[in-house]
Parts: sequence; structure tokens; C-alpha cells
Amino acid sequence: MCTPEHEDVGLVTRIRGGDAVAFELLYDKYKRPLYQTALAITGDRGAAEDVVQDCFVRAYRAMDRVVALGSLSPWLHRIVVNLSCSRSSRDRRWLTTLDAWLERIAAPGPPPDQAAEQVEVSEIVRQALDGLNAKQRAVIVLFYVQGFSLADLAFILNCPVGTVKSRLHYACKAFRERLREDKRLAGEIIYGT
Amino acid sequence: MVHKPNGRETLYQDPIDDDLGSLVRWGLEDTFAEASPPDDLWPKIRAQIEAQSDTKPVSHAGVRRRSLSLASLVQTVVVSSLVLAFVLEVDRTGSSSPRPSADRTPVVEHSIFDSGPPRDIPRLRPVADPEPQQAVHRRMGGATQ
Repeated sequence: MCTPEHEDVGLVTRIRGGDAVAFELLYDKYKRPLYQTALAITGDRGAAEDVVQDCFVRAYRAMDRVVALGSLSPWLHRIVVNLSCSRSSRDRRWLTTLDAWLERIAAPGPPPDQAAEQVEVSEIVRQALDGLNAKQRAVIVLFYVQGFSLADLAFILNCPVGTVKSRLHYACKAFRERLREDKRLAGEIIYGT
Repeated sequence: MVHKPNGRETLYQDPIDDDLGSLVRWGLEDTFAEASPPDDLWPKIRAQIEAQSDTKPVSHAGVRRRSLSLASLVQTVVVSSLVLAFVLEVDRTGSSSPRPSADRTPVVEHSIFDSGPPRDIPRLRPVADPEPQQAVHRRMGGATQ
């Protein structure tokens, strides 16, 4: 059975040969995590769509130059993070769009009490994330949500592993401070007590 | 789809940070788990790629490079022409500057000389002006008239 990494290598070979179906398979494979990362950094669905679209167009153009030895996920995330950060610094919008909230309210989910708690925690976390800059948001989302290793983060953020650790440390520190300012959250997580 | 961080990371095995990670994952799961790009995004991407393939960005770069070299060539030719024209102008100006009169005098004298009557035409002599007496040459020891 073909591993995901080897699958990506095969896809790259086929895309280089002009196989449009292979490129669509690559898109289907990575569209959601890339979109989630872009949405987490930009905070705007329209911006995230633009970023993902631009990412795949750039990836297609650079397909001849990419060295495909394993998964393309770090490489694609690197493009998305760069596009999202540049876009976020240009047009900083970390706003909860109305349709996102409507979708959440309309979607069937857990019992009302649990759902209310989940929504409140989500709101607190999102607001705390909103207080960070784009790079700090990126490192937190990539590490905690997308589950990348520090080595992958070093590649994605184009910096040494030590710098990644430092960025993650300060991002977590800033994130905790934002959470501390919100009185709705229990203290044991924030203060570590 | 939310992933857990790899357990191999040693930096953030601190339980506080684990709690923070859990909070982030739990808090953002609701927001991002269902987040997915719209279905019409792929047709947009494909259309953009096809549009760029039609216009052939590589050949655009080639045209740009070619036009750049052509521009530099034209620029070189124009500059060379200007320099050449300047040099010629300087040379012409230098040659038309007033020279010493000795240089031009022979030409003037020559033209004056040429404008005179031809030498082979006999001169007319006025009637009132008698022909001058020819000088009598006396030969020493000759007979007297």
C-alpha cells in the first residue's frame, strides 16, 4: 500500500507529466487543512479562499522545481502561511463572520448545555488568538491544531528550530495572557495551578 | 480535522502547555473542524491555471528579457549616434573657425588674376595717342641718316 508521502511523490511526477487529475487529487487531499490554517491566520473566510486559491496556483507553477521526497504538506503550508501572513499584515481582519456563527448555531451538535459551553470556550480561544499577531497565530495553529513537528515548523516558517521554539514559547505566553484577561475561563489552565 | 501534536516534541511536554494545547485544540476544533473551502474554489483554480497556461508566463518572461535586451541595444545605438554626432559637430565647428588670412589669400588672388583680360588679346591704342617713337638705335660706327 502506498504511504501518503510516497503518494505525494507519485502525484508530483504525474502533475509534471501534465496529469490534471493528479493535481485535482492533490487539491482534494490538502484543501481542508490548508484552508483551516489560512482561516486561522487571516480570520476571514474570503481571504482564506483567496489564499488557498493562490497557494495552489503557485504550487502548480512551481511543480517543476519542488523536490518531492515526502509529504507536500509542509511545502504547501509554507506557501499558505506566507500568503496569509502577508495578507493579514496588509488587511488585518480577525473578525468572526456572521455566516460562520450562523452555521455554528444551525448545525446539529451536542446537548444545549454542552454546546453552550463549547461555543463560549471557542469564542474565548478565538478572541485570545485574535490578540496575537499573524506569526504567533500561525505557529500556534500549525503546532497545536495541524500537529506539525518542530522540524516541519522550521521548514514552514523558514527559520531554525531554535527560533521556532522561541516563537512558540512567546506565542504561548501571549496567548495565556490573553486568556488570563478573560474572566470566563477557569484559572487552572491559564495559571497552571 | 484536528490533529494532536506529535508526542516526540520534548519542549512542550510541560503539563501546563499540554493543557494549553488541549484548550486550543478543543476551542478551535469547533471553529475549524467543519471549515472547508467552497466547492467552486477548484474550478476557479483550474481556470486561473489554464488562463496562465494560455498566456504562457515563461514565454512572457522570455519576451520581457528579449525586449529588455532590445531596449538596451536601441539605447546603445542612440547613445552611440549622439556621441558620433557630437564628435562630428565638434570637428566641423573646429574646421569652420576663422583661419589665418594667409590661408585664404591665394584663392582670392587667383580669382582676381583669373578675372583679368586674357593675355593674348591685343590692346587697343587710342588714335590721339601716337605710336611711341621707336628708339633709334645707333650703331656705333654706322652711317647717319
